Amino acid sequence: MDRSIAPEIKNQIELTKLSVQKEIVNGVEVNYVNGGSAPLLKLELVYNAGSKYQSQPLVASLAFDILRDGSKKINGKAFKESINGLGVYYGMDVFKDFGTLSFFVLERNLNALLDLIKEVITHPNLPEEEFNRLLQKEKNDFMVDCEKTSFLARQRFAEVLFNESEYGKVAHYKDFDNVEYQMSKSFVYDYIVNTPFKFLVSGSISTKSKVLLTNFLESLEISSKGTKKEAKKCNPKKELHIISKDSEQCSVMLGKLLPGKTHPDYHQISITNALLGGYFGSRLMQNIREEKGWTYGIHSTIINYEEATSLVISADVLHDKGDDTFKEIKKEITRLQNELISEKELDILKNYLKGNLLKGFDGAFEQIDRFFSVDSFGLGWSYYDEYIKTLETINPEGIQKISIQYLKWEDFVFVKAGGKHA
Amino acid sequence: MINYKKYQLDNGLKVILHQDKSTPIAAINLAFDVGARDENPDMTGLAHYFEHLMFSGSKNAPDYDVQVQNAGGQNNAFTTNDYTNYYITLPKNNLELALWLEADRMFQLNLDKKSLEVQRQVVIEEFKQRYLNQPYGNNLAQLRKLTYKDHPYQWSTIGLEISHIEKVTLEDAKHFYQQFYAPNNCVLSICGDIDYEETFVLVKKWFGDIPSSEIARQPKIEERQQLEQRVETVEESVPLNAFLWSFKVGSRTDNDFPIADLTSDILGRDESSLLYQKLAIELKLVSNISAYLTGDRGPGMLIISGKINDGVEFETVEKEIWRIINQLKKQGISNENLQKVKNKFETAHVYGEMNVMNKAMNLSYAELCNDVENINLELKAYQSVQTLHVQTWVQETLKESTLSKLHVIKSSNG
Repeated sequence: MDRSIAPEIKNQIELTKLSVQKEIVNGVEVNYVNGGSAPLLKLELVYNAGSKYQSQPLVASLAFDILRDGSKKINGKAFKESINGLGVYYGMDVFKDFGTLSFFVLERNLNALLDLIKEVITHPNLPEEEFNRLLQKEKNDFMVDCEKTSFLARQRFAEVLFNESEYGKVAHYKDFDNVEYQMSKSFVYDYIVNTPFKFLVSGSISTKSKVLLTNFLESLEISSKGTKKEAKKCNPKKELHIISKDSEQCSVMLGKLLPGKTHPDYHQISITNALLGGYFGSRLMQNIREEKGWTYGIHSTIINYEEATSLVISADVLHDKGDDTFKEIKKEITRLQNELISEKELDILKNYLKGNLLKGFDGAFEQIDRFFSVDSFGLGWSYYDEYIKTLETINPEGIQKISIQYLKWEDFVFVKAGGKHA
Repeated sequence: MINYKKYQLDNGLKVILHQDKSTPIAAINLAFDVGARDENPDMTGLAHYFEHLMFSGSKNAPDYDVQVQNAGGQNNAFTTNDYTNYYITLPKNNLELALWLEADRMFQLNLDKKSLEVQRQVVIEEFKQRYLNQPYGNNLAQLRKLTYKDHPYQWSTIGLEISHIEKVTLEDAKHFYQQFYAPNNCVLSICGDIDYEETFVLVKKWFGDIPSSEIARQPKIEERQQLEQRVETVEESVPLNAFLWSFKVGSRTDNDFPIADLTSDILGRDESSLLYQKLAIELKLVSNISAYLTGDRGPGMLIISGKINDGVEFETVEKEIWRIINQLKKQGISNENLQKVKNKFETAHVYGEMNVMNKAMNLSYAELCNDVENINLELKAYQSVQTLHVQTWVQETLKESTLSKLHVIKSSNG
């Protein structure tokens, strides 16, 4: 048997995009992505209630924490027993721009779940005693996190990159003493109760489910509150920030601001980022992990907020290799700027990204995520067609040009936390 | 319900195929019947270290990762105490490439000094990143040591200590490969929009002539019977005192595994569980508390762990946990409470059947443990558990004499 000849591969992909059905019901924008055959639905209520809306750190996260405590009619214990009793997996989470309530529910329990959701978003219970317990819990978790160099680096990194913007406000120890019950309570009433939200529904959506969902929305009393807020402009502190801590590893983070998803160069920037550190075959992973063995993993990621887009490179490295890691990253970026990528490496990158995109469209749950990640920036499905087009046409010169224009070393901020030798 | 076809090649390779026409992605999974439990006590961590070496390339595909990426695929692997699992997802048209790659590295892996050294360093950094450089990161490993005195479950997959990884030689790695990486020690599963016959022909083509080997395992070690409760206290630089308890339970292939699993859910799966409701919410003794089963093929553990609020004594927490366990023993649980965890299991079960990668992994592992058909019997087995089963199981299993307790105390300078 001749094993030396590899089977042929095909690199044309066909993206099957499910249709997104958009409706406005009672002031709520619903987006349905219907697909699959399993009797399971994913529901997401997306509120303009991210941490950028809060008056001080912790207010928003505690507001969403305490939402888990049921309604005036169904108290916390009963609520948790009911929702878990329906076999529902749920989360109430805060991000920078949005706060979301998300649920995975078996179709047969949809109606009962909708009743519970309605209770929480119209008459939340919000007991002060539970607020105090959750505050203590968050404080405890925070103290644990502060033992991790990667957490310390991440916190400082957000502060220095998003300096002057709401995106850069992170919690400090003192904030746990300053946050008050009334603040989170007001946050719930100002940004969640009876405010319009974006409703994302995906999975196998039967006609019957659709009726239940519509009835649910029609029964809400949505007011016009909840206007959008724009975060202030960031003013990055472009220097090295050092956090001392004696630790087994050194956490490094560096990054800069980038143009956002609506910018014409964005797809090219995103492809260039993948080459730099966005997948296992990337330059950084190959150099820092596979050549040198300094780390278990190094990643470069683009993070999109509504008013700020950023490139973030991060790794936990051998305790005395922090500075050398910065040097190697600089070397790799300089290489992108000075040397043209070979056609072969570019082909591998393109093929990988195409497959990755295909996987990102595998099933209704994946597709609703892809949809929201463009819809929230005012873009539509054509974004992905343009991405594929860019993947097919981008050339070595294009990558070089993007690297020169958008990866200027002097624009980076640097954070180093921990290690044994400063 | 997952429909599948099961085959076995002459060299012993077991093959499970499952057709899912709804997806453009194919998933290929290989579960090798080798894990940390097969290691020598003075060279722990080798199975996991070796998993890293499986990406060093093979005779005809010296660049394994690049080949996968070029085919639009993604791959990864993990090692547990019981087995080592490798998987690829890629566009369905490129399925054969994945089979070629996997067959080649099963048959003729490149093992050289360079990758041995680099991956040694990567594994040591992984050890630090995931265990040593994390608060409480090493406690589970300490609990294992306390719980098992004979069985190789006494160490975690990362290994007992860094020095074990430091001394692995190229010869050790080669020997490990010879010993365990053979078709007769593997279950291959493939899920996607495939044709059963055509796919089986491809599997035979690439895997059919890989020779089987004599799998020489360490003699099976039975864990001695624990006669009394064990307690150990460690002092660490952590912000809160913590506790980790382990009760010795049976194996995941035992008939009562669904009972054990649902019981751990009732005790501490989520914020509506008995332990969390009482100790975290009502009495505010702990910051968090949870219970789960390790689900091993050998004698497993039911672990109850949590972090204690400042100023609360270990004894107070302990008394309340026992109060709940004893109440289960005396009065059992309500039907609603049992139905709740069953429903939760069902949601997770349905979700797990929606993704080709999950399905491929579960099919391989079910076959490796026992019989792939169990995958379709599982939901029914969970649904048939009765309240009395839970009560009896708790009475027989959650006893002081099978308990090991680790107390983590924050050091005064921490």
